[in-house]
Amino acid sequence: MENKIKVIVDLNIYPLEAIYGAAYVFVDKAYIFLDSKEEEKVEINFRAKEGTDFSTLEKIEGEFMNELLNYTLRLKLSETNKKIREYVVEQALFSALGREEGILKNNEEKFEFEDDPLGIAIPWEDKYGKK
Amino acid sequence: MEIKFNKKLYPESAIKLAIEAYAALAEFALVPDEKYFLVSLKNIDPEIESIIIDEFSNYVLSQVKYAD
Repeated sequence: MENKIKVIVDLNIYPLEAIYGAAYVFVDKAYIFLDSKEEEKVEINFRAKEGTDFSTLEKIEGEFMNELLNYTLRLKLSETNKKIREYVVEQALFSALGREEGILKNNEEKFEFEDDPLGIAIPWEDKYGKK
Repeated sequence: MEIKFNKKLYPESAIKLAIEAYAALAEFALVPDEKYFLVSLKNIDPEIESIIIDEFSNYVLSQVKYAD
């Protein structure tokens, strides 16, 4: 028996991004080749690497399908939570910006433009004396 | 030897990245047709002749995430 397995998946169930993601995880375990002969369907061809028998290839194919499901779920969750995630990041950035503006504002209120709190406007000779 | 990469599944940039990486092992030519990118291989390093197609195809797949 040739060490090959072909699986056909429906893109309406498993997005292409998930297929790429799962394939990336398994390229070191088996040879994976993609093709598409029907609309919305992708053929995933597994071929055993040297030293891999058919039962191991079947196991790899099973694990691949689990990984594919895992990726699909993650992509769907990521899509569902996109708005919330954007909102949280927006709030975090906004509050950080507000705080920095507050610090700047406080400093602006404390010092006049002629003030020299760090003493950088004092000439060297006045500060340390002549050599 | 020839490999047919489906245009709907394999971005051209991923194939080009793989050709660059494998350039020392064979001579590659990339020709697109209506549905496929046809990659032909010549003067293959004899040591890897039996596996180069599968290894190259895997490498192309791994480069998809870096493709434009």
